[in-house]
Order: sequence, then C-alpha cells, then structure tokens
Amino acid sequence: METNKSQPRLPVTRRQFLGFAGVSVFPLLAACSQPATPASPAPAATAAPIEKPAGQTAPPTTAPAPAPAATAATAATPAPAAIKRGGQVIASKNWTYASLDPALISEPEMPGMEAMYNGLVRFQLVDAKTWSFKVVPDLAESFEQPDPKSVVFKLKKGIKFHDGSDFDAEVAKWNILRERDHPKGQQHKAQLQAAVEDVVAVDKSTLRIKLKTESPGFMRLHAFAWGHKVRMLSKVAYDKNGEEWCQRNAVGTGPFRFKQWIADDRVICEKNPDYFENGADGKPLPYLDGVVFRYVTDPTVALNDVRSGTAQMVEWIPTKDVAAVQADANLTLWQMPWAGQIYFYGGYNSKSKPFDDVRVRQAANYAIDREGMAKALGYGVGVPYYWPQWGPGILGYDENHPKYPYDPAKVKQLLQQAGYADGTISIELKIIAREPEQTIGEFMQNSWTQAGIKTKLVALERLAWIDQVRANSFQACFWRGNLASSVVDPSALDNAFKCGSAGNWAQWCNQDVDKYMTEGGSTSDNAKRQAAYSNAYRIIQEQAYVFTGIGVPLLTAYRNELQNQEFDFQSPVFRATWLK
Amino acid sequence: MGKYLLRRLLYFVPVFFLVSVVIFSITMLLPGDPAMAFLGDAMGQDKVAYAAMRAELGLDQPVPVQYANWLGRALHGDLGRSIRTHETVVEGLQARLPVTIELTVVALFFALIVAIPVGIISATRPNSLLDSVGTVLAIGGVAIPEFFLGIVLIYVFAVLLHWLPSSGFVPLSAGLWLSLQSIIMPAIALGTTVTAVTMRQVRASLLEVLQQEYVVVARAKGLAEPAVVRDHAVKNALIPVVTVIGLQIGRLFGGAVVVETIFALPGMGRLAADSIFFRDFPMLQGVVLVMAGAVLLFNLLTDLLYAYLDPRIRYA
Repeated sequence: METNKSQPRLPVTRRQFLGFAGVSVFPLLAACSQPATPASPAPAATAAPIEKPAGQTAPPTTAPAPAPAATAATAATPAPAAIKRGGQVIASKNWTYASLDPALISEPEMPGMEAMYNGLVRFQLVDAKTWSFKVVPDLAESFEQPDPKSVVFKLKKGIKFHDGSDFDAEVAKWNILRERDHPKGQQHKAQLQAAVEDVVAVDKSTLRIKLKTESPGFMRLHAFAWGHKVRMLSKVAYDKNGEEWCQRNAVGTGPFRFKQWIADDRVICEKNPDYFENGADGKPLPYLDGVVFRYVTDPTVALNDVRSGTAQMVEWIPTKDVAAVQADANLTLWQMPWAGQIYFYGGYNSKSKPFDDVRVRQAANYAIDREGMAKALGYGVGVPYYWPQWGPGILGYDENHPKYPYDPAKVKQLLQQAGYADGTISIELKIIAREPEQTIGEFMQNSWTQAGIKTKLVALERLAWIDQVRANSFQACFWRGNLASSVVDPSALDNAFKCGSAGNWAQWCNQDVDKYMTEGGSTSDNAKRQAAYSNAYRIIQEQAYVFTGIGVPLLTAYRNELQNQEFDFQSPVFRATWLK
Repeated sequence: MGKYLLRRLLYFVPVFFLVSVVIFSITMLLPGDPAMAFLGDAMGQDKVAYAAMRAELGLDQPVPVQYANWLGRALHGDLGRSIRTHETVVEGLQARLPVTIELTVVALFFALIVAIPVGIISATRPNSLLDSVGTVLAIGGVAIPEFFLGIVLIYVFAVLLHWLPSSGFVPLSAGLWLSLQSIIMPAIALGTTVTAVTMRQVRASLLEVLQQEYVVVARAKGLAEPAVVRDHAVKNALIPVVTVIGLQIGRLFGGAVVVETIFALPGMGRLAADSIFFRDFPMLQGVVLVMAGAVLLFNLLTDLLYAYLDPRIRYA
C-alpha cells in the first residue's frame, strides 16, 4: 500500500470536531456545494508569443495563452543539497489504461507510459510563455538528417530494459516496425505508415529511418505522444511472454519499473535502480521511490484528492475548478495552452440540406458568439477561438482568411441569399451528453437561435453519438478539438482535414485541401510549406466546413510538495521530481 | 428443509439463463459498439481499423452465434476476456468482488448497529425526544442522495480534517485499520438509506408487537420492561425487518455504482458502469451474473432466517 508522507497534520482534533459538529453542519453543507471559489473569475489570459518550427509566423493575438500568474516554468537544475530522495507520488487522471503495450494503447499520453518507457527522442520545454519546445535525445545519443528522406540516430550504449535485456538498434527497429505494421495498431500506426518507408539497424548503436517523402515535421512528431512517438518495449519480454501478457505488463527502459496494475484503479510503479540518467546529486535518477497512477473518473473527487493530500497531482482539471485551485495555497496550477482543448469544435454535414450550401455554413459561423462564450464559460482561462485547429504562429495561419466574428445581420443576409426568405432556418445540433459539451451546447443553442438559426439540441451518449455521426445522420455536430497536433507540426492535421481521414468526423472532403496538405507535409522548403498550408487553411475557412468557439488550456494541479516537477509536451514527467 | 434448499438452488439455473439472455439482448440493442469505443475518437473514422477491430472482438458474427459461443464457454467456466482492460472476466470479477463485498458488509453492519438500537429506543419511547430525533434522522437518511452525502463526507473528513483518505481502496490484506479507513466513508454513504428504512421498520414492527397479548401477559407476570422487550418482543419484531433487509441488498448493489464512482473504489458497481459506457459486453455479462447470483443468494438466506427467528415457519 502506498503511503502519503506529505499528509498534513490534523488541524483539528477529533474531540474538538465532535464538540463543534452540531453547530457547523449547515455552514459545512453550504461549503460543500461549492468549493472555495472567489466571487469573480481570474483575470483573462493574456497573449504570448509562440515559438514554432522553423518558418512559422507571428505571435498570437487570440489563441489560448497561459495565464501569467499561474503558469509555472519547468524547474531549473536543482542544487544537489536541496534534493531529497525517497517517497512516493500519487497522480490521478480521469482516463484509464486499455493496455500497457505502447503499440496498442489508444491513449498514448497516459502518464505512466512516460514513466515506464522511453522513446528515441523527447520534447523538452524551453519556455512556457512562448510555447517553445525543442526535440532532445532520449534513448538516442544524437540524431541527424543526412538527407531530406532519412534520419540517423546514434543510440546510447549499455541501456537495459527492466527485465535486464539490452536495448540496441535491432530492438528499436523491431519496435518501430511493429507499431507501423501491427494489425491492431492504434494512434501511431497511420502516421508511421505515412512517414516511414523502412528502418535499418546499421550496427548495434546506429539506426537509420528511411522516410517515404521529405518530412520536415518528422522529428517533432516523433517526440510527440499523439504523433508517432515509439516507446521501446523489451523484445525479449515480448518473445518470452507474448502479446497478451505485454498488454497487462510493461517492460520498458524508463525511470520507473512496472510493479502492478489494478485494473480501473491504479498502476503502481517503483524506482528503476538501473536508470541511465543521473540526477543533480550525481546518483541515478529517479529521486522518488515510486509513482502511482490512479484512475479517478469524477473530476470533483480527483480535485478533493489533491486538496486533501490523498493524491499529489491531478491531470485534466475542468476549467470550472481553476478558481478553486488558484485559491488553494497548497496547490500549483500548470497551464498548457499549447496542448489546449478547443471546446465547441465541430462540423456541418456538407452533404445534405441545409449545410450543403456554403452560405448557410458561413451564416452559422457568423452566428457563434465566441466572445460571449469565453466570458460566460471560460472561467478566466478560456479565450474566444476563431481558427479551426490553427492559430497564430502555426504554419499557414493568416488573419486575412475569413474569421467569422459574431454578426447577426450578416447571418440573416447570407440565409436570405441562400433562399431562406425570412432569414431563419431550423437545425439540429448533436452533442455528446457530457460536460462541458452539454453546457456549451446550451449556450450555442441560444446563440444560434437568437441569430435566426433555430437550434434543437440533441444530446446523445458518446457511442450513440459516434454511431449517428458515422452514419452521416446529423446536420451539425461537435466534439472537442485539440490544438496540440498543429502546434507540433501542421502535417499532423492530415488526420483531421484530409478526405476520409480518421479524425474528420464531419466527413467533409475537398481535393484541393488534400493537395495542399500533402504539399505542406512533404517539402522542407519553409516558404513552400507556409504557402501550401495557407492555401489549405484559406479554403477550409472560406468553405466553412468546421466551426470553433472557445479554447482553454490543458490544466494540471499538483501539491507544492512536488519539487522540480517537469512536464513533457502535455504530460507530467517524474524522472527528476522529488518530494519536499 | 434439505429438499427446499435444493429446489431453491435449482431455481438459480433458469434465472441465470434468463438473466444472461436479457443482458445479452439489452447490450446488443444499445447504440454504439465496443470496437468504436476501443479505437477512440482519433481513429474512429478509420474504416479499415474499425472492421479489423470488430472481427477481432467477434462482433462481425450474428448475435445468436455470439451468444451461443459465449454460453458454451461460460458453461466451462470461461466468461471471456474484457474488451476494455484485457484481463479475463473471471480475473476481473475476482479483483473487484472483494471491494464490493467489503463495502456492502460494512454498510450493512453500519446500518444494523445504528438502525436496530435507534428503532428499539424509538418504539419503546414513542413520541419522546429520542423518537423525534430518530424520525428526523430516518427521513433525512432516505432523502439525502448517496452521491451528495458522499461528497459532504469527503469534504469534511478528508479535505477539512484530513482524518480519512478522500478516495481509493486499501484491501484487507494491507491491514484491517487501513482498509477500514478507506471504506468507512463509502459505507456510511451507501448504508445511510438502508439505515433509515430499517430504523423505521424496526420501530413500526416493534410498536405492533408490543401491543400483542403475549407481551401484555409477560408484563402481567411482572417482568421488567427491558426483559419484556429483549426476551419477548424484539425477536418477533425482527421477522419483517429481515424481509426489508433482504430486499435492501439489491439496493445496496445498485447504490454501489454511485458510491464506488464517488470514492473511486475499484468494485463491481464501478466496473458495471465502466463496462456499460465502453460496451464491454463480456465483462458486463459477468458482472450482471454475479450480482444476480448475489441477490438470489441473499433472498435465500433471508428465507432461511425466517425459520430460525420463527420456529412456526416450516418449509414443505
């Protein structure tokens, strides 16, 4: 059983409590209904520049940005004397593992994966304020691109998996090809298939990846969990125990070894004493004795866990809880606008009435009151979001493309031009019956209806929603978008914008967009990339296939006992964390 | 008695069969399928991956064939493998069942140690202050939803006072006290409604028994009132209470879904909810079979308890 060494002393004795229990019941009940929340929301986030891959453009003016006071920077290298070894951290998330096999996991950013496995390279945050990341070696010693269609990795020597077997180029090759070719491959499979022609183990410590085309975004996507990052699994363990076993047990090279998975509850990891990186005190990392990754479905429960000290970290805090976290002196709020969610990101059914007419789609876009939505539902960290998956600083972004600010008069005019004489139409908006979709859906129902698009809100259980949207049985639907992919590299948007792509829920298709997206993803010439993506983006905006409403940062809260806490692109990393 | 027990146990077979047919039919009627749930949002539109996943899960076969395959394996003790967590269903049930059993037992224990004494006091002192307090507590206990009471308990005892962990489960093997610490708040949240219902039933039943002629005779013989209540009234008053408690077992299992979610306990209730949302049919069927079996078993135990409490009751 894990212990929480940082649990605070009891502020009240049992005797004192019982003495006052009677008179305190009603105030407590009142307090329970709404955790300590300031009367007014936190100040709106301010704009911050984005540092992006070469060739990307201006700083943001409207995209999600970090709230200045709350954003913690990645800690600098600690003084050895300050470091305290030992202890265990409990971190929770409202998502559970379906598998521990990195090739078959559908949620590649699960925090435990980062603790147990390594990839060839990883992201390192350079500056949170400018969203600046660089790709640094992980299991690789170095990497280079001798020509536009190949990447050569020099691998670190002497690295062992948790089962004692060796990591080398042959094992790396096996892992990459397995993820690319596995019949049940998940998130990475399509991207690896699109990018990787072949993998060659030149010698034990040299690996060459041959690319299918020039892929300027390859290294960033290879460091990105939702891109095609390949985490290295022990081939010896796989050969010995089989695939089914590897789905329930993790054998990687990471700073923590897998100990136990209690399904639907927790994954327990213990320190890997043979980890290859050293800490600031000259001894091997990690500083902690162990990490426990818990699955807590209810965000209120998860927040209570971290406030009470039962857990030290909770990922994916709902925006409504931002004020409560900021008001708690024991907690730090880590905001990741670069990995932010785009709430109210959805699409129109462009194959049937009324949205088969571009003027109706444009009218609907003009009828979204994004400023009002951010004010009402942003809780101080949400901002109006006008650009589907794109934003200032990302290749191809151009503010000259249609923006669709809220304009009811324009809505009426466009609907009349489309043949609706009275300037109104009736539509259905299908949403998933969960938060925040429900609340945002109700806001949008009101916003659209007031602008003349009478909206019936249809809330469906998630899988029922998927069934109907897949069957093209919708007029407008919305899901959640994620800014992370385009921040890493816009070529990742192939999965959202190309005809028939897996993430294109609204199933719109434009051959010109396909052509420009392919161009942008297959040339190293930044000017050409900029032009290609700008063209694709212009068409998408002009045709108004998709819509957006509000952007919010990805949020994590952790207790202040956690020192030197680092984050990968969007997940906590515990290799150099210690407990105060 | 032996024949009665055997007959009741044989009833389990058709009931289990019907439960399995019903749950299989209902899950198949639900919109959405597990292949889609497994693939997730990002891969959801990949038709090749979708078809491969359906074939992998055996969902491309006709429903009767799927059911026959499942039933055939189940009769050999193989309930299949979870689509969601990849553990075998039997392993999954073995891991979760102790959590729900401990939760239910502690909740029932809490309900009985509170409800019976308070009910007796209320009945023996009707319209007194204690009776009024008991009545208010009973009405409150029925009225407060489990999820709300759970959140209140967490806020007070975990967030404010730091006396108890706010969520999570510690198995008995890690120590009785640690385990109780993790289960006491969920058990109170789950058991409060049962406490209230039982308390009212004890009170009403005992009030009625105290008016019976044999109780009047006992008093006339000069027995002190505590002895009258203890030796003559309570045992007879508990017969309808046993019925109510037996019926509440099903309610406890239902409430476990909510309470296990609020307290993040990896038990059968939460497993059922997660399996439904993920369309994890093999696991869902296993959970329902176990829960149906538990309810049947408790009903059987209730019937057998009648005979102990009232020797006049015999089973032909």
